[in-house]
Amino acid sequence: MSTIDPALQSFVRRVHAMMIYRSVLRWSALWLMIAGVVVLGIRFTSDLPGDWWKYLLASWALLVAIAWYRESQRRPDPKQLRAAFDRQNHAGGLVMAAAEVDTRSWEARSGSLALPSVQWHSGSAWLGTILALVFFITALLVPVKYARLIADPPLEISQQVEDLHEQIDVLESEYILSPQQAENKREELDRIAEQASGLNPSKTWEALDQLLHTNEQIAQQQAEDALSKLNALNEASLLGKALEMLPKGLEDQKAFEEGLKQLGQLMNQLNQDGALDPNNLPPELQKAMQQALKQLGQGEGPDAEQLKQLLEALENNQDQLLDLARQLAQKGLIPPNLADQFQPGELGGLDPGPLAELLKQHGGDFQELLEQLGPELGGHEEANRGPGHAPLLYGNESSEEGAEFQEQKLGLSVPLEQAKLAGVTITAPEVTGGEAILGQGALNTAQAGGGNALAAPVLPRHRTAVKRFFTRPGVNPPAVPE
Amino acid sequence: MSDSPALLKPAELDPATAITRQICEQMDRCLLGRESLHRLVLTGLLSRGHILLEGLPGLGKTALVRTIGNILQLDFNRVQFTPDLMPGDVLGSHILQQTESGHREMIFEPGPVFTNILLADEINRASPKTQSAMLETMQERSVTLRGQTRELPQPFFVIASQNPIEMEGTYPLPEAQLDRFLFRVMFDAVDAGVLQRIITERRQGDLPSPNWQASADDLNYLFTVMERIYLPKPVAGYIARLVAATHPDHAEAPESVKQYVQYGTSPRAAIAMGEAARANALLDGRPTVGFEDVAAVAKPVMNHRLILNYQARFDRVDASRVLTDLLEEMDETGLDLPTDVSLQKA
Repeated sequence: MSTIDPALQSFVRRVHAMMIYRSVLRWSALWLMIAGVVVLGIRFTSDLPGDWWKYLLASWALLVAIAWYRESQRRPDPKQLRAAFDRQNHAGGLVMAAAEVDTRSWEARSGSLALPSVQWHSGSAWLGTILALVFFITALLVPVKYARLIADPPLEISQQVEDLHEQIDVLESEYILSPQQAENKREELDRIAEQASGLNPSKTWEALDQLLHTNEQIAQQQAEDALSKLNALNEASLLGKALEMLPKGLEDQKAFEEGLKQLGQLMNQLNQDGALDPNNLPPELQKAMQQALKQLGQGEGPDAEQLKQLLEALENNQDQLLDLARQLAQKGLIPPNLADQFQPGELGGLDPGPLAELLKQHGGDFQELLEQLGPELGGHEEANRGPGHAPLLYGNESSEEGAEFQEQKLGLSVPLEQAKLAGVTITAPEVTGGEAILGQGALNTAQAGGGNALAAPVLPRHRTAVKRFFTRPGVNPPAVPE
Repeated sequence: MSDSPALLKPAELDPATAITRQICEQMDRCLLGRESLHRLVLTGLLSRGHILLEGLPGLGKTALVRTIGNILQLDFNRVQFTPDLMPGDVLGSHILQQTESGHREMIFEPGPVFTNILLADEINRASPKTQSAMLETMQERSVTLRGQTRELPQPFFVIASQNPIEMEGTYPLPEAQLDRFLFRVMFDAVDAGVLQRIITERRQGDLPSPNWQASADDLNYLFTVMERIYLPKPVAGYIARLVAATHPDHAEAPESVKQYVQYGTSPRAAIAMGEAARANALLDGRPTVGFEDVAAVAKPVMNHRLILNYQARFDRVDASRVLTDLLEEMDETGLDLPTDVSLQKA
């Protein structure tokens, strides 16, 4: 056995150990990262088992065993290691030759061979391992409440939930929603608030938007109904006031009776639509209104006191509808333009005095009067198609009656058969006369060669073809220019 | 191991080492400031290789050859190559002569090539025809004329020189002939201190006579020992990988080879490198060849065998630089350690 062999074997073992150490350190960094993630996941979802560190140590031991096995499989070729040992010792090939020939006679001269050191630039591996260790310790020590915050961050929607609760309260208090419907909506709102998560905020916001949209739809529909009732109430109120002012003379008796009849119809209609809610009136007004409705239904006119009480009841109902619109608008349940259409008072701001005079003139036909006064009674706002976003469409075309048009005289024209051949040219013909004709009329701006008949010359070589075109069978030919 | 050739014993190697040391000392004494060059030339001679010296005129090329011949007591001839030099002027020719019996016959008159050391001065000035005449002499160490082959005296070395700056009117050596030279050695200018010694110690540039000369037995003994210098397999593998990596399409070729080399070196380069490494080990007094021996001779062995491409010419990259990159980037052992792991001397 060569004296070199022990040193060589030490060198081989040193290289192998270094390779195992390198693999273990690098894999440990990865292992710590994975272990940190696992620990974090377990802590987020449940509690760590009591003997978790045993599993940790066991897995690390397994890692070391795998690293050792892998590096054993990848162990460098001993011949190459021998060559490296020779090179590092500047042995001049003696160590390499020792594997092939007897070199003992030279080994004494070469002296003791030093073991080369195996160096691994492990800075990056150590840095990675330390960072992974810090991550692992952080995962182990981070408070769970913060961990849960990371897992399920809160979503701030308290203001939206409060607003929606107030909207539901308003809808319930105004009898737009039944108590059961309101309760269902509250439960749905609470469920949305409970399930709100910062991880998926869009889902929560979409649900809240859906609830808000439903509330708005219900409120808007109710507001539109209320608006039409308010208009009818205004109409009835106006008529009632006009009747109140109407002189009770013999001549007016017919108009008064007719007005009463109209008022009765209006009141009945309002009653059927539910616009006259007796629950909103004081008991004496309720009684007066029922009495008035009864008399009106029998075709009898109320006395002055009854009419006054009836008007007061109508005003109360108007106030109730206005209050409803105001509350819905305050909670943002109806758009502002719809809320603005709720106006107190008489129809179109008409003064009942002149209306009484007009009513007298029309024999008490209030509906006809309204139709005639339609444009003036259009309300305080601009003309529109009512609530909603329907586009404003134009109707019939405007009449041309009374419109004035600029007169334009056409120039004198010569029939084609009376035209004379002035000459033949292949370019644009020079205008030598006829400016009076061309200077005005429909051909005023016509250019030579621009395509009109007067300017297009027919060349002699085309004459036959043109003639053949106009004399083709089935066509009544015009006169062919000679 | 018993079938392996026996390694030289120290007692066998030491006399040879002493002879080489004496030769080097004599050369260093006669020619000042050329120690490494002398060692390289002696390495070439021990390898039985031919040497191409490249350098400016007046640097001592002829003096070197003359000194070696003198120290080794070998015959020395010098031929100045010119464009009109014919093969017969180098190899010899047949002359019609009348014998004593009155017959006339063609008598072979040997040329200057029939010597031990032939200095082919400015070899690139000769015509390709004459250069080609040297092919057989350099490779086969024989001369064939009129169907008759004549062996050259042994040992036979050609030491050629060429001037790198006067290229006009020259015929660059073809690759086949360049490949027959073991080394191409660059003859650099000496420094001022050496020049001062030459001026003061060498009147008229006369060379001093060596005070020791090697005998024919010494030379034969050196060649015998050379035959037994052991080349370990890993070193042979390194030489093979080194030569293979000079080819740009080889897997181990470094980037500079891929970029600048058109054709790599031939197997003859690997053989030459092995022999030269053996001689280098002998000069160092070692019975085995190490990686450092290969590194010492790799450049002179391969620098004239690499054929560089036009890109190298554009980038002013020479073969020496490519070989430097090759030697630096190739691991001698072939040990496939990770890049972040390295071995350091203890």
